[in-house]
Amino acid sequence: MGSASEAELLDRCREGDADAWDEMFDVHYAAAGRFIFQLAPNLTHEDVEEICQEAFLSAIKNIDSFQGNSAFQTWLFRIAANKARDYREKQQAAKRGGGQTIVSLQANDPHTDLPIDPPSNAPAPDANLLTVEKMALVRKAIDELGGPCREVIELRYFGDLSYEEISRALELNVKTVGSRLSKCLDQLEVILRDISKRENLPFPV
Amino acid sequence: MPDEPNKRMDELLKSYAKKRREEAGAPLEMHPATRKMLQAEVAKLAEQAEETTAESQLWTTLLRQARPVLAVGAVVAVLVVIGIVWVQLRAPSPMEMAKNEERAQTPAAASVDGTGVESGGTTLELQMDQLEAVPEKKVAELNDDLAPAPASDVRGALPTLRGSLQRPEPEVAKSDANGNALGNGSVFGMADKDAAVAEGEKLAFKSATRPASPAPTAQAPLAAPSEEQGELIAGFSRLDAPRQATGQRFNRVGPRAAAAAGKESAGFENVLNSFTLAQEGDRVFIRDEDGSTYEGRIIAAPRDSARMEEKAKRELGASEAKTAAAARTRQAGEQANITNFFFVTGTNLNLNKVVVFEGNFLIAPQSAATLGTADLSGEKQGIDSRIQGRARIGGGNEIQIEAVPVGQIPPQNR
Repeated sequence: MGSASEAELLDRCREGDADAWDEMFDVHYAAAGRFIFQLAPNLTHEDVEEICQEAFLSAIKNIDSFQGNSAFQTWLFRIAANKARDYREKQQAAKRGGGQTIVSLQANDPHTDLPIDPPSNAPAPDANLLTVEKMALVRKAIDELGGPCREVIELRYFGDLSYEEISRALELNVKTVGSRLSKCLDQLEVILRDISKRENLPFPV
Repeated sequence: MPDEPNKRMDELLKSYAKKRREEAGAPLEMHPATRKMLQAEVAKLAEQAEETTAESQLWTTLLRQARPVLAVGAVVAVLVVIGIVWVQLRAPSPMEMAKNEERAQTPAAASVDGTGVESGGTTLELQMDQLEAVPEKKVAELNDDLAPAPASDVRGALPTLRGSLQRPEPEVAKSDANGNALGNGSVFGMADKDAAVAEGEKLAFKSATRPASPAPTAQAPLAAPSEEQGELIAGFSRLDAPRQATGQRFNRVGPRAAAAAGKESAGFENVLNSFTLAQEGDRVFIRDEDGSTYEGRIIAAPRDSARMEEKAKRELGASEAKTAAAARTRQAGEQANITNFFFVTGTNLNLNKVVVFEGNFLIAPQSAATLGTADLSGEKQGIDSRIQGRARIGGGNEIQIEAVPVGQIPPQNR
């Protein structure tokens, strides 16, 4: 989408034009879903749809704050990345017990009167365990990286944005984006090695 | 050029992203329920925005419609504020009223209690100090101009003037901390113990001629006047008996040019050109032809021979020769005119300046012998009397005044 047509579409969106928003959904929903899906190896399509919905809802509410310094998709990706992070943190908290319904292993199901067999959070048996472990390590290392490095890596590799687009989104110089990305990858390697050593797993590369 | 990224990490992340994209499968499509929910949110926000816009437009419209009313209201408010400020500025403040009262009372106050009076930046107190500060030679010279009385008499009159201005009860004698008799009133100014013999006569004069005056408290001895003072007191007291002031008109004689004219001497020649002089007790009133009134007191400057003699003794070490010379001076003074020094002050209405007039009322010996008094304005003094002195205008310029009586006017016309 050209910048002129996108600006016009954004103006209509700001005026509350439903058709403009429909067009915006059609253009950016799939890209946002694909981006969100890459953010974590354990995100399902349902998770992605929920995160994507939250991201678009936030974009609708805050469309007036969008200054147009970057492309709308870049702005949407940053929102989606934050929403995905919140979603995953909520998911991990639920796994630790918070908000999770406690199921008694001794009690029977009140409906079937049979022993309860809750689903496992472990990867499916048919999944490639080694690949899944690698991906989980990478994701864990990115999360530990945190801060600006995590954002620039997500935008670069999962959002598939160019340096120029990242520089506009983060309001940085293009060279600064390049040097920051290089340093962040070095740090990521250090962290990845540390995690592999700590968990007795082979280094992914 | 951007730094070369870590190739291993770069490849790892790219492979990770590629695998996740493959896992994602077909592009996601927004569920209709999600789209409906998002469109509802869009509609809700648009409605809120319309309400806000309508409200702001309503205010804008109201402001536009009410603009003339607001403008008129603002003008009215400004006018009201200006009016209030104007009224407050026009109304005299309490401080200004106090100043006016003080100004109106200034001449009388100055003549009664000796407090400072503004006269072109110079107070009466300062003028008294200046008079006292004049060297004796200078006083002698001035006295030669004003009256034939000896210079020491004028010097002696100065403390008397101060005493008369600072003591509102001239008849009540007081004593200082040392028990010395102090002069009270204009004619009791000289505390001379050697002349205390006249004390009894003086008290008799006062009690006989001034029944309305408060009697001496006798808590402190009265100052003792000289014999000549006693005579003068007697004369004053007799004329003061009816407590009715009389007046006499005087006209200036001789050149009218200012003696020490300054830059602003224009118009000074009309000051005290023709005036009416009245006396009430030891108080003197002068009404100028332009209506200006000046008020003051008589500061009798009789030839105090006894005091002169004492002064001669002090200064010259009680030399016989000097005492004899002082006695000769006293005899010469007795043959000269009777001189009454008076001091009036007031504001000249034409010049709007304070005028301080120090003059001598001169009575020829034969007239004085006939009258035996120092009435400045009595009918009997129309002959062989004159006024000499100098008037200080606005605190700086001085003019010489020499006036002679031209006729008597009834008191009610003054």
